[in-house]
Amino acid sequence: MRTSKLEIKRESPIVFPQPVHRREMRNGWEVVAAYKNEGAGPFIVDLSHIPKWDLQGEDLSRRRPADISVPIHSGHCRAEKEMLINVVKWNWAVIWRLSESPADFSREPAFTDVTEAYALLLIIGKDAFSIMEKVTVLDLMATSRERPFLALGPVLHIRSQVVVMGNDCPGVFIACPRGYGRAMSDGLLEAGAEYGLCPAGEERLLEWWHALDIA
Amino acid sequence: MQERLAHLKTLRVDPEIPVPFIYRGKKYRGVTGDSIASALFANGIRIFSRSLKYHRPRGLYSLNGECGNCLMEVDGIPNVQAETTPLKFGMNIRPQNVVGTPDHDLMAFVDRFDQLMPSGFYYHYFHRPYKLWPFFQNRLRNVAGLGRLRPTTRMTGNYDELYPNADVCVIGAGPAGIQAALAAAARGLRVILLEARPWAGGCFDYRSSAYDGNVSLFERAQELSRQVKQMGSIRLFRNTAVIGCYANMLVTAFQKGSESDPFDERYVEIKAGSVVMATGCIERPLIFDHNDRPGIMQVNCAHRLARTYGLLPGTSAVFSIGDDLGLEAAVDLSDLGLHVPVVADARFDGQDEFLLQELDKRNILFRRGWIASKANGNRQLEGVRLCTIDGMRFQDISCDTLIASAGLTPAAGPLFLCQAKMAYDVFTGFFLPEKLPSNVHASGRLLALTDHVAIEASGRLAGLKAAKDCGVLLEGEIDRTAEELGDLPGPARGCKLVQAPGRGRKRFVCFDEDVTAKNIYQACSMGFDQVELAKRFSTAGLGPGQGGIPGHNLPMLLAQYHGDERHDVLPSTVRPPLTPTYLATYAGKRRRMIKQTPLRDTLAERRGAVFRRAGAWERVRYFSEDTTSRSEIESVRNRVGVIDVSTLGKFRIFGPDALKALERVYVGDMASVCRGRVKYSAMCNHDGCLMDDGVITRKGENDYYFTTSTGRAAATAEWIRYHTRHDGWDFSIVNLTDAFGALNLAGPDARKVLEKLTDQDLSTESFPFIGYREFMIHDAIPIRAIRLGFVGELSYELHVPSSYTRALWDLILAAGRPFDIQPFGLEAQNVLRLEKGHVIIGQETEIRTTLHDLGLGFLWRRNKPGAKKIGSRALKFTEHQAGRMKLVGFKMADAARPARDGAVVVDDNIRGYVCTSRYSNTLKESIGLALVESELAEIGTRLALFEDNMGDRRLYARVVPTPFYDPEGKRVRM
Repeated sequence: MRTSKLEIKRESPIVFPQPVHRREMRNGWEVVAAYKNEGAGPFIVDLSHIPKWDLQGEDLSRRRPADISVPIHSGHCRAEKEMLINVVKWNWAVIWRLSESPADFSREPAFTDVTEAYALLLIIGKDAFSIMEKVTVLDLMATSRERPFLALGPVLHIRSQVVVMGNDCPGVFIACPRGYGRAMSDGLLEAGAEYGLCPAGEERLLEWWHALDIA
Repeated sequence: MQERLAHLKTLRVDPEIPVPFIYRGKKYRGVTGDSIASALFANGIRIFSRSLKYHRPRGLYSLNGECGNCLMEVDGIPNVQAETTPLKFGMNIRPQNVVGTPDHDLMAFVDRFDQLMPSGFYYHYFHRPYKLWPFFQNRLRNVAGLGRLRPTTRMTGNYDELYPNADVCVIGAGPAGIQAALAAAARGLRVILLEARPWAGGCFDYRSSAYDGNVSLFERAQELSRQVKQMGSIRLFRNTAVIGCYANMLVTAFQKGSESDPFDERYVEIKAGSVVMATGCIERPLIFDHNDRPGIMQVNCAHRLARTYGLLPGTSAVFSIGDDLGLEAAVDLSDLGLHVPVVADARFDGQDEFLLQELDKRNILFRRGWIASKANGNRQLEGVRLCTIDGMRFQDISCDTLIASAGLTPAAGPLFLCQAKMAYDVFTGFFLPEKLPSNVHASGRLLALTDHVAIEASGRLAGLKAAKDCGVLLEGEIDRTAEELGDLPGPARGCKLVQAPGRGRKRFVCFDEDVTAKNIYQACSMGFDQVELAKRFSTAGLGPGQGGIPGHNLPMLLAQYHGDERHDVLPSTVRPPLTPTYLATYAGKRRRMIKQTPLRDTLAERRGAVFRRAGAWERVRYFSEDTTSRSEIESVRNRVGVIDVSTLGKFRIFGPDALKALERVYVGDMASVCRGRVKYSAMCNHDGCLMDDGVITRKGENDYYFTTSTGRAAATAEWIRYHTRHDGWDFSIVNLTDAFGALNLAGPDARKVLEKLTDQDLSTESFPFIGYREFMIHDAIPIRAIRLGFVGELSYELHVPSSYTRALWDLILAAGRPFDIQPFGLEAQNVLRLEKGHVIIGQETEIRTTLHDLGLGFLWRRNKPGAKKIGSRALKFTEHQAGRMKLVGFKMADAARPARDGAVVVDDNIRGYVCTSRYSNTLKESIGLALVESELAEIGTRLALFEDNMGDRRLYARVVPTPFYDPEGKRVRM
């Protein structure tokens, strides 16, 4: 084997048409920390690079990934230790790790690394729901559901997982198959144009997440 | 330009802010808040269009878009409803269905030949003999139709979509609708309030008569609107017309954008927990001779024209009315300066005494039991003949305006659509809901209420009931409100008059289609005497007004024909859209939701890459303008090529019962799947027909990785779950299709290229054909490698985490440069696999093609009945079944001329078809695969092929064994 001078980089399916202000390399990914002129929001953040795990099994309630208990009911989510655990159905949950925490489940058979399977976007801001209303029939503002919650259904006609968090400054995560990532981000940016939706770096996520006051 | 009544508090226009527009090439001015129709009317335009059949002049009639009179061409788009479309700066407006000018239409002579056009005349004249019909059909279609849509027309503008959810959706922001919304919102519910007009207020909005003491109706409407605004949980959608309403609480509508909105029109789809209908009433047109003349308009139209737009409908107006709203309008318009010589009321009694006194005070002659029987004038109204209901006394009066209405009819379209059981009510003359679907409530004037307080109370009651549907506990409150409503005046008696005395030929029931009362009777006399039959035969109500004008009069006319009002007044079917709108609005945003492989951008940068849509994905078909892809094919056959196959389905299945699940859906023996090797197998349906194929390998204890075809990837997980749903097996499936990119490195030099990137031993001994290995590229990129031979050469299918796909691609191209590596596309792959005789599902298969038909019977493990393999029973039956289609290979007689895909195999009959045929540069002859009847499948059989427009000529081919290329399979094992 000969070495090559080519740089080995991991690429997100999503590319925002915005000049980058600050970026950092993380585990091969080129993560945008901030874009230039991010504006006042609402913001859309590409989180396709964050580790994602699929957890399936007959008794999820017995599982404690990273010592966090898995909610029992479908559609319920648990946000803890910079992780989100979303229960799709009784025997299926997905885990999104929003930070660099060392949690790694690759040795446990019930877990499958699906980091690359999904494009993950986050819309933050008070107009997040107004934007989502233009792209999905899902009822994300349902007062009867306690946040955070998971809704499954079409976003821009693409089967997606949507997680709603936050009350004063809501955030909506949208996970869709990676192949649709570009079409999804383009569609959301277009739908959000009238509200001034603009791309933002990962720092916005952290800022927002910490403001949520999650344990 | 007509002077506006600028002092009115009810005005919805700002006469100080002009809005210029163009009509027939000439510049005009409207004002802010105008609709197109009101702006034209203000500028003296009285004839807006010519009618469909007779080219009769037509003018402003309802101001609600209930008929096609005011359909106009705006900025090149035909059939824009001028009555309901807001005027915008610089609009270019043209009249429709006009040959010449609206005042002097060259086709107006047709009006004289109406007797030659009885009901259903085209069936009489043009279908005998029937073979002549296409000739006449073309000519009739050339002269008929409203507006002209040029083939080059492109809709400009922003057509948006919105999918809001609500607890309660209220249709109609009149007093009842607002009260319903307020009642529900006050209980903490999310309410959506839809209003077709640009403002809320409904029937209160423009009226100056007293609501309560010193408060006028329009002031009350303003107060209610204020309350709506203050209630944060009510979302009011103005300019939003409902187009559909369904029993599952789904309401569809479209909203017209104002100049400040970011959209021109948007489709709105609301999912609610409960729906309140508060759509109010429209007017029932009065039928009399020449009732369509410009200058004749409905009460509501004239009243709103003055009160909302500040325009008097004329100088001298005769009223012929059927309810108290007509009396109220006569009094009010008289006060505003309109000369009203006489009011004819079709009713003998029941009038509001107060209004009669007000008429008297103004010296307006009131005639009880009188009605307009004929409009005089040619292009515009010049006078009217009034007569008694019995038709015995007449009076001719000169006037330029006739304000005519037979009374009210409920705007019950949404109720019909959501499957409410509607029945004719003899007392009110309305179609009223006998039974409403669950979670649907009706309120207000829709229920024939006329008392202002009762209208609001009924809205409040409906709002409370809707809140209860959403789980709010308020039983006592509902009872109290119902009691309160019960103490208020109930539904009012309605006017039953259908048409004035007389036998004139030009008394129009339907303006859109020029259908007269006489036409309806003609249809009845020919046996089409039920409402649905009469409607279709006479075409009454089939025009763009969606039955707004004839909707109620047609059933009443038919009842009159039969002489039985009680049993024969049946409503006609109502279908969406209740209000017509653009197809562009339904289409919404034309977003291209296409899947892209991780290499999309990289491939797009290559010169000559031509992308085509392949199912959900966008893929490269060619890498040059040469559509035979010769260079790409040569590269694979002689050196090395690489193709992006990321679209292949990829799955993990694991758990104690994973193997059982695989045994169930795959026809092969899955127990023989082992580590380090892949097994090729297929999935069939219960008919034994091929659904999918792919390879499976075992990665660990009860842990498998398998691939599927691109087209089946989205359905595979559900397919497996469905076919094991009764077994209670413990296994899990994860769709990894998007998680991995995939490249197929193929060609005699493939190994040499890959060896430059990894330390893995890639020799045939170490990594043989159908082997599976996992290794690292450059110590950084984890690879799942499978040795396959789909294109008939030494090949490595490399599965790589999607984010690394581009890096791997670049590394392979760099490593392959010394070997003159070339990317290849789908077309090259198609030819390469054809040469090898490999099938593509969907291309060489169809819904009836079994495993045996394709010659893939060897994949089926027949002796595993315990697995209950899907398709096994059918395969046993079809294995030796006579008369089945078989897949055969063929070579063309003319080596240079391949057949077209889809060419038909013929003798005296159709005997099969060509699935794929191409010129093989490798073999220097044209080859193909075809599905033919089994008796043609013998090697050596001569096939005659027919292509489109071939006439008596045929192409010829001969059945040959497959594979065409490397039949011993040495190259894939090298």
